[in-house]
Amino acid sequence: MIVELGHFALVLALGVAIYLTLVPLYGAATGNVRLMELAVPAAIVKFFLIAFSFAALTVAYINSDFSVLNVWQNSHSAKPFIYKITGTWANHEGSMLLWVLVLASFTLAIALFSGNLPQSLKARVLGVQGSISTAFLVYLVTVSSPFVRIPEGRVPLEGQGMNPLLQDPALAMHPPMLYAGYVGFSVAFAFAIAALMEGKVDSAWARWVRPWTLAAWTFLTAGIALGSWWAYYELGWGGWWFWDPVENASFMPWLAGTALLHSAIVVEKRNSLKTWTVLLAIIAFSFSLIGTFLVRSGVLSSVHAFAVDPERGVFILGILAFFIGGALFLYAARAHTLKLEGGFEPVSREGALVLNNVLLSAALAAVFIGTLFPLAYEAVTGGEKITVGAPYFNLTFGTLIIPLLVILPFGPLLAWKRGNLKGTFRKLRTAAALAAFSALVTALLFGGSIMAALGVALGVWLVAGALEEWAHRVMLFKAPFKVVRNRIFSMPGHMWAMTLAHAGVGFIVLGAIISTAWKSEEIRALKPGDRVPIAGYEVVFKGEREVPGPNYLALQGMFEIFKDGRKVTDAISEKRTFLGRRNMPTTEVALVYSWKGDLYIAIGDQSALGGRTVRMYFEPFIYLLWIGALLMVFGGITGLLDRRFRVGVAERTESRLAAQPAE
Amino acid sequence: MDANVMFWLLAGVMMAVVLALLLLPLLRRPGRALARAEYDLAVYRDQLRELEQEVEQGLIGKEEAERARNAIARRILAADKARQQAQAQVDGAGRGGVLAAIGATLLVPVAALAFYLNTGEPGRPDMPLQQRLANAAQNNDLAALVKRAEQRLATNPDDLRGWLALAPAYEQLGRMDKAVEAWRKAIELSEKPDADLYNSYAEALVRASQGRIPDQAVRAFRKALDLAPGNPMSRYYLAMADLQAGRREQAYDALKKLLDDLPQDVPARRTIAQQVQQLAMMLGKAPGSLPSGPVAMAAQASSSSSASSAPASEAGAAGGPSADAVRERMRAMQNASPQERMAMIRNMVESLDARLQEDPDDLGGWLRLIRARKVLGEDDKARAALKRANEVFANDEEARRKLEVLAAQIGIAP
Repeated sequence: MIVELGHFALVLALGVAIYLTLVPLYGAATGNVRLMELAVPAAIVKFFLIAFSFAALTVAYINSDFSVLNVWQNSHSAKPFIYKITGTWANHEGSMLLWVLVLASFTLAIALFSGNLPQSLKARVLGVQGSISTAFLVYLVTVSSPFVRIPEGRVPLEGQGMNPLLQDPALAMHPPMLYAGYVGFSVAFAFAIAALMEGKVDSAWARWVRPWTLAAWTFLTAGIALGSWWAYYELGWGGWWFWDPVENASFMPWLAGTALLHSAIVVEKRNSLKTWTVLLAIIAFSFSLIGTFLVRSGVLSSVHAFAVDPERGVFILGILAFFIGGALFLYAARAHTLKLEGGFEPVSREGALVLNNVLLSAALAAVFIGTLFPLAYEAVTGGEKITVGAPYFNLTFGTLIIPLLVILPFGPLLAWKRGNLKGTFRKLRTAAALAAFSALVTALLFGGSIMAALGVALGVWLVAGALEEWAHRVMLFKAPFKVVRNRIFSMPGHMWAMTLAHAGVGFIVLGAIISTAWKSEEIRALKPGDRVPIAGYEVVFKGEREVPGPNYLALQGMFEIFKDGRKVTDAISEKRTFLGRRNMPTTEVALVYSWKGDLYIAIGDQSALGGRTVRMYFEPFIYLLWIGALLMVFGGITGLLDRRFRVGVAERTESRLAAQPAE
Repeated sequence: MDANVMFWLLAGVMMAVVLALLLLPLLRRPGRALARAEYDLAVYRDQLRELEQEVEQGLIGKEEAERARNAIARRILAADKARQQAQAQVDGAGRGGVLAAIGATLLVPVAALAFYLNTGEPGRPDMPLQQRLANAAQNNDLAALVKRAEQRLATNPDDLRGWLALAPAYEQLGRMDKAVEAWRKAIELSEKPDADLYNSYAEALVRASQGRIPDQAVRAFRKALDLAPGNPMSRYYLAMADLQAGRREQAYDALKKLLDDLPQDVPARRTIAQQVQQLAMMLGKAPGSLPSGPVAMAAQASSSSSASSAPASEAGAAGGPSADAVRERMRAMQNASPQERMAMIRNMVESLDARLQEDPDDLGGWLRLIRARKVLGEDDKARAALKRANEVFANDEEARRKLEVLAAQIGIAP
């Protein structure tokens, strides 16, 4: 009866979440340390209850227990073991359970690793976390329970199968990463709310918030990158970013989180931009909630679909309204209590970070409008659909993000408070020269448009700029080798984080520009024996065959790849039809890697003219994208390992000893 | 132990542990509160230390470092002042709150029970697929038995006995397409398929076509007749095929002859006799003497039971449990009281319903289900099934039209 016990643990967790909301907040409001301290055991208990509940659902999936409605709807006994596990969260109810599990993990982490937090702040942060947890647990228990059973005697013997698109290693890991990112911002949110309650935001507060924000940002970056990589090799369209609303839903909190990450630095170092940073913390988590709502309510597929089955959507909308509205209200009422300090000149590190924030926020607004406008339009016109496509996003987002990328290398070199633009530019001479040189080389040697050449220059500028800043820092070529080595090894983690992440942005720009501007594309209806030349390769279609997989039937298109008359390799692209979900075939792309890029082959449908539709692309240097994303994630991890995020615990000073609590 | 008791015992333990973990900290003396400023001071001291490190390593300019040092020093001074002011407040903290905490703790089980009793099914056991399949025989879980046989045959598709056991089970579950397939496999695998096997196959074909006798079935009945000349079942169906093809004379002659050849104690005689009489009237022939025999079941029922009994006994001899279960059900059906029979019919309707959840693409199944629900007087369920069927066939005009016609015929509004 592990299923029922899992269900019971979930409702018990709801009880504990209510407790975790009420007791510490009340304790903090009345200055009662005893009550504040109860937040920690409650957070621990809540985590274990939800973890048990999640484990119970996982066991039901592993055992193909079709007496659980959710398992029957989303699983199949013939599924490979790994997808029985990941199937737990590859559906609405299970993914919401994962959401609260991740939230409980963050709450647990705050409870355990925040000995350095003032008790009242810690109690309030945990209390706010408890309230978010309560809202989502009520949602899970009432309208979205993963533990609903099928009546005895009517239990089916086979499930309806898991969404075939999700039966893939990258996408199996995508939701946990994404949720860790989304939910991670709840910590910054809780800190912001707690700070508004206390009326105190200062550089100490920023220092407590930053590691949590960085952790969330790192997870979210990894999650988005995994999703993008998956879209590239699984969807079969040769692209890696489609400005799809689901993608935008995860990109918006990322933009807000990136801005928050930077503005929190200003609060910590300069005790400035405080209200703005608190607002960003609220916005970042609000977009996480909106992202969850967009993807989970069904509103994206159609406003109409949402209106037909509104129970869940309205519930999440209510949660959204409560937390976002409540937080903004509190912000409006309390923001003036946050005292300002520390002015700065426009040309300074602060100035650069403000510009970063302005441009990121504007870009966020552009994406937000482009994502929600079609929904609003459909709702207002009563069902008419329009799509806002890539051209809109490329124009608006591009216009806003390019200036940001151009000024990016300057930021880290500017001094705080008062910077020197001329001196800074001199420090970036080499990067500027390299960028100009690369633009010339690409324009003259490889053809392509002026825009593409400028894009390459921008990428080179970012990578070289990050490296040049690093070189200045370690005094490369300026100091004896010993000194340089010393400096490299003693460079703090957060500095490495910045260099890696900024260089990563450059690699992403390079990968994006080159793979788009110099992409080759052939879409043909092929019969066995047909040969297609593409980007120096010759693709020979050998024919097709059917091969059974564990829970699918694969139609394999077989290819031989030649280069300069010599055979390079065999390649197979598949179309898989899954048991239980026959109407959702998936594509497995054949990828032939080389240092120049990927040869990408995807088979499509039978062509009306006879033969098999085959899409072939050559994607030059596309791997720079993945390298860039990896660098950003590694940057995030190095930043998290930085010793300075482990703030020292407050020590009891002499004067404290005189102030024993009277009891 | 009763599953329900066991469940509440475990749930009780879980609740007790949770309550203990929440209440025990109340026994401890609360920690002493440090003023916020103490924590701030720790952070600023760290910042200062890091700044000095950066200066040492030359990571920051002299002038800039000086500015930063001043800023941090200002913060330290402010925090120190705040610390001294805060002491008065801190002194008052840490008292009481025990009652509030206990009250809040009691909320936890109350909230949990309120939600759980509303939505949970206390003590309901799990039903892992493997376990269900393993216990299928003792639970008389026909669907599970079929599934298990399918699994065995998937790995060992040449197992004749497996197919022979599976075929009648499919018939029992109403999955006639699958039954046809199973009989066909059995014929393929038999070294010398006998007349009964061909008859069973052909009859499954007939039932799969809702009583129409397709050419394939005619060929199979002929084959059976070749193997066992005079076989009454083959002769009966071939006569019916003639009738369906409009060859009434031939059908009349064949049935009459069959009736003459059948022993007096065969129950099906009466039905055949009635058909002969009807045909005679239609063809304007003098009715022959009506044979008297014991009251019989409908021809359809008796013939289908004899069809399944032959292969079932063969498989039964080999100890196949699924065939036994099928035979058991058939026998039970025949000996049942009207109430029991009704219950069994309901049971079959339910299993049809369950099967359609699993395999919703079967339009014929949906039509049967909706009609059966109406016949059982369960109008609501008929309507619900109609709704679900309409959803399944949302993109199939033809199917939806059929559903609409049926709904109109039996008088349930969609």
